[in-house]
Formats: sequence, C-alpha cells, structure tokens
Amino acid sequence: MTPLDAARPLAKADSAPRLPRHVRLHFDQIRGAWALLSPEKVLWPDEVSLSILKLCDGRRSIAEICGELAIQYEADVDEIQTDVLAFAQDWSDRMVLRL
Amino acid sequence: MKKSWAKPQMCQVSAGF
Repeated sequence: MTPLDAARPLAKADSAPRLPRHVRLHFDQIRGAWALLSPEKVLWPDEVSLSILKLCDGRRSIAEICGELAIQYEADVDEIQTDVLAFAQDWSDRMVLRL
Repeated sequence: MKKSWAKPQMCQVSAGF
C-alpha cells in the first residue's frame, strides 16, 4: 500500500458524502440539464446520478441515501447500495465528492 | 411515470473544451 492509498477516502455505508466547496450543481437553462461544475471540468450527470447527488448533503449516510432511493425507484436496496458505493468511490477519486 | 433504477453515469467534459 502506498502512502497515497492510505490517504484515499473509502466509500462505506456510514460515509456521509457531500459536494466539496469548489464543486456545485448548476441547472443549465440552454441544455435544460443539470451540470456538476468544478474548476477544471464539467460533468453531466444522468437522472440516477442526479438523484444521488441531490441527497449528498453531508448529513445523510450512504445507507440512508440508498434507503430513500429504494423507495423512490421501487428497487432493491442492496443493488442500489452496490452501485452507489462504487460510484461514490469513483466520484471521490475524481474529487467531485467528499466522503 | 415510474422511474427505474440503472447504474449511475456521469459524462465528463473538460471545462476548456
């Protein structure tokens, strides 16, 4: 394990993700779509990603977020949690989500 | 309309582009 790996935040069910200070969700009027703006890149989340991001307020844990999404989407909470953990890790690694 | 769960995707475009 490198020192970099040791410092890498890992997405867990009790992580409470939030957007870092330099990242914000912005509704693009021209495209009629939500964009995730950071200083060096623009990300265009799909509907599912957007549902997740809107629940990332730093208070809810990933487990709680998945519980809400399971109700919204009438889907299996374990399947949702697997996907959300994988993508929270990916977004954290890309520094657009803080765990 | 009922929403259906799918793996979340995000398309990235560099700000410069």
